[in-house]
Amino acid sequence: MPILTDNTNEIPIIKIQGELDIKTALSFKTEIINLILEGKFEIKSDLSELDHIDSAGIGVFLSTTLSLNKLGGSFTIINPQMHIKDLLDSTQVIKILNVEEV
Amino acid sequence: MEENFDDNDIFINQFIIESEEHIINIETLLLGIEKTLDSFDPEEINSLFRSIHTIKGLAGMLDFPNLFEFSHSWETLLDNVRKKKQVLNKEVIDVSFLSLDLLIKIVNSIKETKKDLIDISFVTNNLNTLLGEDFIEKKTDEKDFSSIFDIISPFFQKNISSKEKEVLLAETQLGKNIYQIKLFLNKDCFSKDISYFSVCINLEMFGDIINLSANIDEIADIQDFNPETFDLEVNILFSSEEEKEKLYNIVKNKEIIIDKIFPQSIEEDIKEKEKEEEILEKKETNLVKDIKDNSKSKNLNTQETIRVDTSKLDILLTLIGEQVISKTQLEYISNSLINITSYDKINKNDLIELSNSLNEKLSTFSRLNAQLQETVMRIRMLPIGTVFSRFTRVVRELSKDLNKKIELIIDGEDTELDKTIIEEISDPLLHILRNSIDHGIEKPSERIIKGKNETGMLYLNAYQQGNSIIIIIKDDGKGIKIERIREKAIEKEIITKDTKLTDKEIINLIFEAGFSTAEEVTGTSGRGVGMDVVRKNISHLKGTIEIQTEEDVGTTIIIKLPLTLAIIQSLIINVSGSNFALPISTVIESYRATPDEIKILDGHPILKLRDNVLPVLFFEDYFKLEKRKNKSKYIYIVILGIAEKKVAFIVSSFVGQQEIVIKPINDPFVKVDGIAGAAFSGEDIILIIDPVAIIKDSYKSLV
Repeated sequence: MPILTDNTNEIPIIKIQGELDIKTALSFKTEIINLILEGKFEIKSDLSELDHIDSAGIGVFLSTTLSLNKLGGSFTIINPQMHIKDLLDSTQVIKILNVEEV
Repeated sequence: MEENFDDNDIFINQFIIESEEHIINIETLLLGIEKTLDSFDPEEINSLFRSIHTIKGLAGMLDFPNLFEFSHSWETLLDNVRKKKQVLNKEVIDVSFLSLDLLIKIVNSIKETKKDLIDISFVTNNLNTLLGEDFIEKKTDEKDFSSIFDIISPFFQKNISSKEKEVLLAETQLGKNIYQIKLFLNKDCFSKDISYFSVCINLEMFGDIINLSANIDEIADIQDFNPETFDLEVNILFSSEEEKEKLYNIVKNKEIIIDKIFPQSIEEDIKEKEKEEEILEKKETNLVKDIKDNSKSKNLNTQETIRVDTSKLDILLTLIGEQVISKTQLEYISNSLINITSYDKINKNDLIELSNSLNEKLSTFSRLNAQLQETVMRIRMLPIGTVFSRFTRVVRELSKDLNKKIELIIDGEDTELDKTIIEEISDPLLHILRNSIDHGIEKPSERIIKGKNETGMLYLNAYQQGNSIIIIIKDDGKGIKIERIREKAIEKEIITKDTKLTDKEIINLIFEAGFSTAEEVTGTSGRGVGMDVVRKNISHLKGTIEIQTEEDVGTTIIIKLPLTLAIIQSLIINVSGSNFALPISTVIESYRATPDEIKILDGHPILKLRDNVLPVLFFEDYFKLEKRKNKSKYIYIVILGIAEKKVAFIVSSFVGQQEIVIKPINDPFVKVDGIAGAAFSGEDIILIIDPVAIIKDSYKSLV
């Protein structure tokens, strides 16, 4: 799962390609922690090329959201694919996540 | 409307079948638990609870208010035991046995009337006494529906919207069950088998999801987040008419916890309300209902169903598959024959080849047919253990009532018998067993004086012997006093003082109607309606019964039954040019004799066979057939015997032995005494002779 972080703007955007699951959630976590350590509490994630997600993936999104909220920041996901959105919807996780469609 | 009734009938039938299974389960468990009262297995109590709970659920669903109320009390008692609020003592077991009896009564009543009309007050009072005041108070306390918002977990109290609150309240007022379901979504839950979605879809088929929320309260901060161990917890507030067990079955997912939060003990009140409404409704529509009930009673007869081991069906399927192949091969030969006959010149060798191959295929075909027949017969077979297991309970109750110590040993529970026989043999066996306990086995004190073990032994066994099933009931009691029977028979005017009888014949007198030797008539036995009914039932099943007894050693009763009723081995005989079939189970022997062996005694023809004198019956006379001149210097004799009564039956000739499938003759105008049915034999239809009727008639004519 390549994670590409565009850190050039004020708000960094992490682009995830392929899968975010039990195997790859750890790299995403590391990326988030690095950004937090850099003092970035507003983070976005581009999901347009994310094809698959599992419960660990959802968990890492939730954990990120909660942690950033505590720090006074926020986490936003951008352009999730339809089936990913459905899944977030069916588990009602979508209530907690910020979703942005551009 | 009509359809609705049919639907209901199907449910009731289903209910009866299921209840009967639970009854057996409850009985076995209770007996087991009773034995190990001090160190019982909690799983047994759980299983007991589940059975009763299921019955309660079904009762609620099918609207059997009495059954519902009573099983609720029973279930609560066991639940208390489960939760260690109630000590598992003798009272609990005794009241449970009492409840079991009531349950059986109710189920039987529903079977017959489709209604739940049995009075439950006695048992329910007993149950409630054990449950104590708490239970009764609770019942009246929790009436308020609005308390549902206090019952739901804090999680939902936080997450539920006002709209959802309205839905929740409405659902509770509709009498639905409310559940809190916890689902743990692990790494596989969204993969190919989409188990999470199937859980949701399945749930929605059986109820309504009021609220669904992911639990984020316990999610770790990102620095502590471990994807390896993370399970996403989804909480569902769910309303459904189904019971919890059903939901677990529907969901078929291990990572789920279903917690029923409503109704808890309030259900009684809702049911009572419903009952009131129902009574009102009944009053209004009494007339209409009466008419409906009448139309309903026509199809009252409960469906006869059978549970079949699937492996038996698999064999059947394989055989039918082979049968299809075999049919194709026969078709091929048939086609070849058509081809050959269309040629101008027919090659003899081709024909021979075809005829050989036809023969070969036919033999395969008939082998398959025989196997099919046997397999289908096996499907009707049930293990006799289903009957035997009931007796454990009877022995327990009776020995307790009579202050006797009795151990029941059961063997051969796996022996299989035709379903019809199993059903009909149960009562006769019960009777014999009761007799053994009541009259046979002595009181412990008496046994000690006689130098026997204080505990009496009852031995029940069943095994297959050739084409028959042998059932043995053996006790080590005092045996039957032959003199006593003789005296009694004279007293009851069954025989006169001068009648000379062998010991065996005297013993067989106990099969006569109105015979009872018990010094005091007890509730157990001794009403004198016993053994003659036993013999009648066994004869009806084409079986025989034999008693062996020795004073102070014990009594053994041997029952011999045919394996199945639908297909019988028969002896085909010929009389005046027509063939008839005699069930071989009743044929004791058949042989050729000379006419002068038949003697006349008091105007009745008799046959002396070894030490026995048997009444003789001429076939033509019995069925009033035209008599043909018998050119042969021999006569052919078949000795028929049922339950110790024998008769010599004179026929024209023997044809052979054959397996026949009995087809009953149902037309009342065609019914002839002495004919049990008809069967196909080759292309002919042959009549099957009813030996029971013949033997009865021949003895009647003697008197």
